[in-house]
Amino acid sequence: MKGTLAVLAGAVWLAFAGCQGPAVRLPVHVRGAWARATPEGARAGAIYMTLTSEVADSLIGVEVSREIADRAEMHETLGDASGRMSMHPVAGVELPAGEPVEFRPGGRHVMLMGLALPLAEGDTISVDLRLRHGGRLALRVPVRSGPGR
Amino acid sequence: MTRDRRSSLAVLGWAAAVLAVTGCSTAGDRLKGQAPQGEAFVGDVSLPEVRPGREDRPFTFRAEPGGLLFVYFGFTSCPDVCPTTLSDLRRALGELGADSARVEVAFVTVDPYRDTTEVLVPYLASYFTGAHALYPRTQEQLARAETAFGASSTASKRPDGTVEVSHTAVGYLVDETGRVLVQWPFGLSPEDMAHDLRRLLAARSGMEI
Repeated sequence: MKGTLAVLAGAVWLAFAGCQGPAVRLPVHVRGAWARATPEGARAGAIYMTLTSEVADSLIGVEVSREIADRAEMHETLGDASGRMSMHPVAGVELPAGEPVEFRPGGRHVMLMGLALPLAEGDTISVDLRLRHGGRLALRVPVRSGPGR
Repeated sequence: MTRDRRSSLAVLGWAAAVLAVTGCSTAGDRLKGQAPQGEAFVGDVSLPEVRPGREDRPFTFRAEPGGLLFVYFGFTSCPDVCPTTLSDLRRALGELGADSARVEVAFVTVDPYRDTTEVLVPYLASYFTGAHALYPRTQEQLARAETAFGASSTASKRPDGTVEVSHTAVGYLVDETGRVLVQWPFGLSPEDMAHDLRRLLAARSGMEI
């Protein structure tokens, strides 16, 4: 079934060629990644997912090709008691060992800035997650109109 | 448990059942959103509605008779909060079927730097048919509207050209007299939105008869 539950992009092999000898398994799992379909004229988009690292690590960046957007940043939306919300870039997101870290609407998200084209439902886009210790993880993200849809 | 206690429990149970049944048609089944703060009258406030290739026209915050007006303060470069609320509302309206025609949508941009008519109108059209794109021409106009709703926002341009925006991410339902009936906090589910819309529309139909 296409576009179902989870995009499993974990278990990426990374070769520390010349440093450590054998290849090291990268123990980061991504579940339920999706990007929200964007309306006409919108210049920004968001990606949501749940990241779990088997060892303590941190997400230090997200890269995206220019065919999709000018750049990707990690952002966090914060709200106050009055319902006022604002969004702030974050330099990194801690991934405690074994603990799922959620990126969800109204909270942490990957922001795609300067979209080249609207994100259309049914598309799949590619981004690279950069981890402090674990190297780089290629992620395929389906575009949907909403969570689970 | 004594016999007396058991029978009084039975009476209580019966009373609760009666209340539950009659409650459906009266005051039960509460709204999922929150009661607005204070007076919550917005029917004397208007903002310019922008339309491509045409002159602005003033839009006043009142629903059509027997209908509801949804009002939101946001901006199109908002990647997270605004699209979440707007797409959830779209889904809620989809659940209403034909009654969705009785709900109008008005979107007030709080980002005059980037939300030109050419950006704002197609953006809204991709969510809703016939939505009202409201573009305050002055900071005072925006502030007056926000104050009436109990909302606030700031949009400031940084030296590097990026725009930092913070805004009240609340949806408001307004009736034909310009009164705010309920406000929806961020994150209210489409099902809960549909629940409130159905309930308020049913109350409005009753008024017409």
